[in-house]
Amino acid sequence: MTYHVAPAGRTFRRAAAVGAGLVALALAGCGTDTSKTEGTTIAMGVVKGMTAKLSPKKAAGPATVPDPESLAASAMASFKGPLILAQIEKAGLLTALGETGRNGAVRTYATSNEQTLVLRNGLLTATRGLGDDLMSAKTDAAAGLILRRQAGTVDRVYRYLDGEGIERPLPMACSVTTGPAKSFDFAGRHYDTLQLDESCKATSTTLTVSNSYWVTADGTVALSRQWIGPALGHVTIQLVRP
Amino acid sequence: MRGQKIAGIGLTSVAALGAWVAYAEPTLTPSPGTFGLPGLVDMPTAESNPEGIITASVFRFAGAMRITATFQVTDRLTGAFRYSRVPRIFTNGSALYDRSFDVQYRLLDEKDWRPAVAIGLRDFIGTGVYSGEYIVASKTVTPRLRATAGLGWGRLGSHGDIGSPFGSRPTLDIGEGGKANTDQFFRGPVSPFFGLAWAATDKLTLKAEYSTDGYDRETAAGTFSRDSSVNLGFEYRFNKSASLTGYYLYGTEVGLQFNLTVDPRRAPAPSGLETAPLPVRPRPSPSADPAAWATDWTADPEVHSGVQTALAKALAKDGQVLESMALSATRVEVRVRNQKYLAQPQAVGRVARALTRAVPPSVETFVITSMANGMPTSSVTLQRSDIERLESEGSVEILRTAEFTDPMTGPDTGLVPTPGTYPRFVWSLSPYGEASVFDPDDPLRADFGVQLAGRYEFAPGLILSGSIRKKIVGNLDDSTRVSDSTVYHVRSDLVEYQRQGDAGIHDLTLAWYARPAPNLYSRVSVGLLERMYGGVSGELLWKPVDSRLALGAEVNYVKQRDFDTMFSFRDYDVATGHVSAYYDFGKGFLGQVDVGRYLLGDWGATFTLDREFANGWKVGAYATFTDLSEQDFGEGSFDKGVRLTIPVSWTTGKPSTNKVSTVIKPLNRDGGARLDVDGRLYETIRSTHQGDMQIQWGRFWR
Repeated sequence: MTYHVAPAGRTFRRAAAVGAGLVALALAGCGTDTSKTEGTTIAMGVVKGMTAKLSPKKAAGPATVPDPESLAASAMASFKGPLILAQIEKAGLLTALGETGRNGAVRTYATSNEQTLVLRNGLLTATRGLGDDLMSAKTDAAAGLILRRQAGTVDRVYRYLDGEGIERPLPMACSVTTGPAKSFDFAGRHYDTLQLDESCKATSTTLTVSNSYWVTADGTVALSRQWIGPALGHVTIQLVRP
Repeated sequence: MRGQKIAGIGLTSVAALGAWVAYAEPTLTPSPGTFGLPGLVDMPTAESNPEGIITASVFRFAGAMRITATFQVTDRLTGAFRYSRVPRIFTNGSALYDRSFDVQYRLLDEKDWRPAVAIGLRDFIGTGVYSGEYIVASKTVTPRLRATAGLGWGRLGSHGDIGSPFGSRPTLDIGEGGKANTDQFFRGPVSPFFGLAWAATDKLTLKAEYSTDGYDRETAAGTFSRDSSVNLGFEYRFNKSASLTGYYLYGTEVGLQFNLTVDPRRAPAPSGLETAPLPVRPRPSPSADPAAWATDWTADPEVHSGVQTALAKALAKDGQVLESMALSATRVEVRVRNQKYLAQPQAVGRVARALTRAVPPSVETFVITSMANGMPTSSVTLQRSDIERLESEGSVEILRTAEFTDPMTGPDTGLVPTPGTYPRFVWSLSPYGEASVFDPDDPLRADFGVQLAGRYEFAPGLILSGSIRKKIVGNLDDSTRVSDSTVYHVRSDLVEYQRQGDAGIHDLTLAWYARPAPNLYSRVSVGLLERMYGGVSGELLWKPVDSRLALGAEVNYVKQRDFDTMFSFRDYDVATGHVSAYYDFGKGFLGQVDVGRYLLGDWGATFTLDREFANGWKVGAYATFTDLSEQDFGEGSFDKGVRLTIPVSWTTGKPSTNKVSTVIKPLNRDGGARLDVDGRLYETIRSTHQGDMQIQWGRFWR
């Protein structure tokens, strides 16, 4: 029996080599060949994770919730380009993201940790680096209604990688309804918006999800609460600097 | 090649995603029996686990033990490997330590009034202490209650039989064991068995059965008393992967079993915990900015080197090495070594996006060539306008535009090596572990220590590498087992290497990888090739980039190393080698046949079948048959085993090309033994070829 941490494609050793990981309790790997030292790093991570689980529970999340206005102000001071604030509900952390890419109507916004949200006309089309990401989404029909602040029914498609890493579409039938008007100020800008709610049902399962958008008369999505996917849940996105 | 063979990705299954999104546990899931496969207690059922599921179970009762691993090979076919102990059944009072294999095939699915029907062979290779055959039907009566009834032969027909419909069962000629007991199948007395499984709650299943296993040998040995044919059991599931089973057996014994279930499609960590790719940077339109599209920069030699330096830096940040580049007014070719992403399409996709930010607008054609051990192994040609257009679309769209070619067939476009790429030196100091299992004296022994490894690449494909190991703690050298092999000990002296080779040179080789011609790959390795052998090894592989078939030949002349694993050799040398055929059957099944001469000088063939998942998980089995007689081979009759590969990225969610591999061999003997040289070509290049890349293409935009 062999058990060996090896680079891809490496053949097996004759005798059993029990995962280098276990031994790493006592030893820390080092060197420039990451393919060989990685086992140690992972094992240390696992050990830390287990220790954290076993030790008494500490208060989850940051002690102080950052105030969106002050976070927006500091982000605007340090980043000159377009900005958004985002909060993934399951993760809880409110973060500023700056625009790092623009391809047609598609904007890519990145956190300082190089995780990204990708929006097309304010509608979420992809995420990266979060884990179990939204690979892409077909949102043009939905955008056609939402940006014009109109009710109606549309189809949309979300795409994800399944457990094997194969891309799978998740088609949904959605109905868009108009909600109340709402005016608010944020980060030095005034927005007069109308709320639009998009309620979607997967065409092949019983899964239902909802998205909400607060859209100005010129079709700017000033604030939104959008579904990313089954694993990540919803994200709230606030426009800071268009 | 354009747009070929994309059906596997294009016809994505919506239903599969639905199942993944809204995973609902059925009320009555298959519950493992004492033999590890879905079953009642000792009796089987017609149930199967979902395709791809791997289970492991440990069952103990009355001094006996069964450790079983199962794999749901296809939707209908289940395979199992077992290591078991039966106490004191030999006349001298010693226990039997045995390895056994089972298979079960579900013939019919449950539908309307029809039950599910399965046929199975238990312990069909080996010494046959558990040998039995059955045909069994299971029917869901209510959503929580499932009834099972079947007919058992062999051990499953050893109590309460109703006659021998297919003639008497010949006595088993155990011989050296290890062969299929085909002349016994479905012969001898047959007994009807039945039972019920009831899901009391979603976590608790209760089971009862009427067993037709007579436990004749155990009863005769006096270790077991069979007072009743009724067995009772429960299974309590802690979560989706772990459960505990308890039994009241034959009116006298209590048994306990722990079960683990692993789904290769359900990773413990979210996939894709990594830095986001660089976004595509589209070009200005030629009408808006005609100056940007000018091509007069081609006259300036500094543009090429400037672009190359910037691109190399960006790729290095992303775990990739730009080995060389050729840039012209309309075309760029980059040769890139991916050291980070298990799925090559992800690496290629990231290079493509980096290129949109690095090369002048007039460059429309991107040729991204994957490198493996210094060899260019495949080129993916993409049009820059497609990359700009399809960045936010499904990955199948860009796949339709991608062209896969052999880099050896393209034009010589004046590739410029990236300065500072060669020579290249990497080293590591890391812990290692080595274990010995299945030793009856002590079923688990292990050593732990440190390994110092280094790798020096003089030029593309010319690599000096080696590793030294020093044990820190362990008990492998306590083993007193001496090989009983009657032939020359080409492999079975492993214990001697473990005992005497502490602080040893594990391997030290100079290898040269090259591309002699289109579709051909070559390797020559010289030195201390592996722990037990040193010498010279040469290999040639034919594998067109879009071919399911590959053919290879390997020739080695090796000498056995001394047990101290330093530079000296023992007085044994052999010319060994194989011709090999590899075939990708599709749906994740890969086959390999190696025909040739083994380390003992025996001639024969090895057959291997692997089930590889798109995420890198691999479960396989192999068997080697040579002209060495069963008597000379010894226990087991021929070499066989199962193997398992788990990608590190699956366990962490973070990008990594590393995999953890294990081979489970029932016995380590001398017949059918192959040289264990590093860097065999097929596995070195396969992940960059069209078939593998199409399967993993969903990660292109990640």
